[in-house]
Amino acid sequence: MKGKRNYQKSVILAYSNLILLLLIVFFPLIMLLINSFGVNVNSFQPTIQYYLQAFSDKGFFKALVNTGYLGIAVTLLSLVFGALLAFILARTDIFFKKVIRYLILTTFMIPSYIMAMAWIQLLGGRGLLSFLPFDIYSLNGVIWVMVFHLYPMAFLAVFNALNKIDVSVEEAARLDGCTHMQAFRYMIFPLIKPSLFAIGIFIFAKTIACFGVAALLAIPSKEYILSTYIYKSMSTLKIQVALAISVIMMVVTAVLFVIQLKLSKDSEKSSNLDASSQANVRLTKWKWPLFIALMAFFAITLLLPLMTTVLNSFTKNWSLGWVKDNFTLGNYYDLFFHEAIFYRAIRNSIVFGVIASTFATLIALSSVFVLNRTTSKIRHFTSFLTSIPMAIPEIIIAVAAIFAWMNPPFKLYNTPWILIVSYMMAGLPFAYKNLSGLIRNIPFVYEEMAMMDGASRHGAFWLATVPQLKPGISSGWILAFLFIIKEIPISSLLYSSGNETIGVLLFNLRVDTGGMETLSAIAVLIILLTLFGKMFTGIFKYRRKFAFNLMKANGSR
Amino acid sequence: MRKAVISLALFALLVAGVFGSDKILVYISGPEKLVSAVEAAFEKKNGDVVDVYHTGSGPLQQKVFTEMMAGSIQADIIWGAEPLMYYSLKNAGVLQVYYPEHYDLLPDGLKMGDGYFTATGVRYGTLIVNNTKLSKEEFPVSWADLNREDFRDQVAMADASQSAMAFALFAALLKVDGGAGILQMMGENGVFVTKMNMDAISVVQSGEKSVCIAPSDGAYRLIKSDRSKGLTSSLSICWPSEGAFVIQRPIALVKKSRSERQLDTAKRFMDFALSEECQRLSAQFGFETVRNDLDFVLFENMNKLSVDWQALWINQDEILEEYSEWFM
Repeated sequence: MKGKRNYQKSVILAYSNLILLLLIVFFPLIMLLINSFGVNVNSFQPTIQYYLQAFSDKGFFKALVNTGYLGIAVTLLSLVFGALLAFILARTDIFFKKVIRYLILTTFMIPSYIMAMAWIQLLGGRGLLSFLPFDIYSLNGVIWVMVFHLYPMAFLAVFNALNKIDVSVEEAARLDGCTHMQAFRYMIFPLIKPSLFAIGIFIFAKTIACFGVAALLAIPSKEYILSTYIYKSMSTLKIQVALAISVIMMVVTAVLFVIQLKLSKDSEKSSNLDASSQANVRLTKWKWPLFIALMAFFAITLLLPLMTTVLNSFTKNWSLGWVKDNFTLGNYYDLFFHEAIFYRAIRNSIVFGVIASTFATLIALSSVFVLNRTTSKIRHFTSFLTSIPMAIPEIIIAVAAIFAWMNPPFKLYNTPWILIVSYMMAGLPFAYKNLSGLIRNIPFVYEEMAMMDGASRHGAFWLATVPQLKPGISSGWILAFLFIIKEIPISSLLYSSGNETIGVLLFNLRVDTGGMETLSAIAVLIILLTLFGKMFTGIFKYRRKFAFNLMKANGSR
Repeated sequence: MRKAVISLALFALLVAGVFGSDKILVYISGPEKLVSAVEAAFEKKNGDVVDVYHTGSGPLQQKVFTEMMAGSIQADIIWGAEPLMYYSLKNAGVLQVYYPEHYDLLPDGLKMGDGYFTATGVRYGTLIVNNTKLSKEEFPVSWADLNREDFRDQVAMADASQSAMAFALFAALLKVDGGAGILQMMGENGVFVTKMNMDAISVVQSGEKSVCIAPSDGAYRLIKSDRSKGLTSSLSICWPSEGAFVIQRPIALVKKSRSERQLDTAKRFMDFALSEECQRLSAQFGFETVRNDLDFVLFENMNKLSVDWQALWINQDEILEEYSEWFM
């Protein structure tokens, strides 16, 4: 009887969660889909002409090829850097592991378009490093910026996967006469392979959906990728062609998602839940050279662009360079005392960000429960809906929101709620990614024990598993929140009077001045806000440091 | 339960606050400080009656046309961007005829739109140069100078397929004597294409490129900003001998159901756009007045070329094809 009640409760939760996802994700996407076939309030005649228009344009295929090149290159390089760093931190006795972890995470927290602008200043025509034979205005420039923005994702996933593998596996191989390389090749690599594939798919999806960096760096070299091609179609008012291309991108993502599901299953089979991981590779004489090499790596990939941004924020005119007479505190002063919407933008971003990331995290939590702790027929569809927004360019999420939320019965347009709901949609994959990775590390046996002690099915999940998911909940929440407060396309298209956000402020300043002075000042404030957020989180964590939690939470899928 | 009731009540208040308002909604592009100043000046006389959505020209167009596809444009007034968008809106039948007060004071050359939209300011599509890279003698004096050998790989311009302004400049230059040759050669000489017009000015300002084709108002504001900080600007505005292209900044009243009070406010706002006070404010941000009775002229000793917006609008696809062939 109790089993039946538990089953019914699970079914209710699964379907309630599904209803929310149908509303927040599926409804805007279905509106986007039907509009891509020319069906809207003005016309009910479905047509495939917009798809044909896209396919008949040579530029589309070039953008498609460029997107494939960019996606694959960024994914592979991110995996190489991420996996190498993960191996060094998880398996060697390198110095200052915590510091290195912080540096990696800080790299991820700088907005990619700010990174791109800093690199333009360093490597562009009159940049400090312009003597280097590398053209930042190229697809390779996009790869450069995106790899150093996204490799921390690969690092976190592989680091977590390595920590799940008991060092005794390698030791057994070593006893059988294998070298370190052979032990890694034949014992470790097969175990982390599913994680590498799964995080690779996530990075690939995020890369092909990136717009800001590609617009800044690839358009000057006359190279389009699908996301900039979509924007071009929007600008020439071929909105339905833009929608058709977005649908194509979603189909590609859906295929990747199916592959990801298969890989997650393999990953589950290979998990070792009672792993005891420790550094088993002694670096001996290589310790210092490797440490210096790592510091050089961070100096180039993090310190250089970060310092550029900070210095620019103190210049009167960034184009005049860092000379004595050009320094000022005026940009910060103007922001705090003269920028009419500054405080409102900060307040709105925080309020909307908190609401949206909290709801996104709750929905993601329900989704991981449904996927991992029920046998519901809809569990894979639920997981799909929670993940799919990761590959949709934000400008298209904004357009889909206009279709979905402008007219009754859900008239949210010109209210803060359209922003919040769209942020929730875009933030879901960040929250879900963290939780879905972590839940697979938590054995079901704890919940079984709780149920044997009389807890209900959901009570057992709440009492035994949710406390262990806390690192994932908080880090997923923070990643979603960080994404939301930096977000531009959704904010600038959907905000209404009084609901301006930091993204709106960033966009308007960029349109107004084209320069980097005040923009850099805002970027510095975002970074400080992020660091403050990390410290704030740290206060509430008494067992582990936030950085470690983030890593553990960001398990591989 | 109590929390749920409070949340619902707050939500209802929020929704009621938005939908129960008698305010009008204005979609506007242009410099943020100008927008704030105009809103404040209008509301000083009329009370808190306007909600403003402010963005760049590109997103403004995207928002307006997506709303049109989704059912109806939500704004009462659209102000800014380029005339091209307004021809599309007029053709779609979504604009309402209204001649603002002082319309008669516009010179014939600036009267456009048959009352469906009205020019409220003018900026010029022209050449912006970096004066630390070029001496005054080296400044371009004609559009044809863009093909000079020393400008190879040194010319920037926004992407005409991403920016309506850049599209207008490309199309207008096409109509100048020898314009097609100039553009073709620019493509061959490796024109540097940026996403936005301000990016093109920015790469000239930083010295990465020597010259760009861009609207005058952006450069005017940057030069003014440098002066206010005690700096000598690296930017100079040059006026080609054939003429700089006149780019109007229109305003239009959207056709929609609204209360009498809202219609009255909307009309007063349209009138305000052509008022001396608003014209003077706009001039401070680089927009030349359109009224022939006002004497605050921003730029002198220059030739002007008008743009046939109607023809541009009709031939948009063909022009973009030519653009892609030569520049991409």
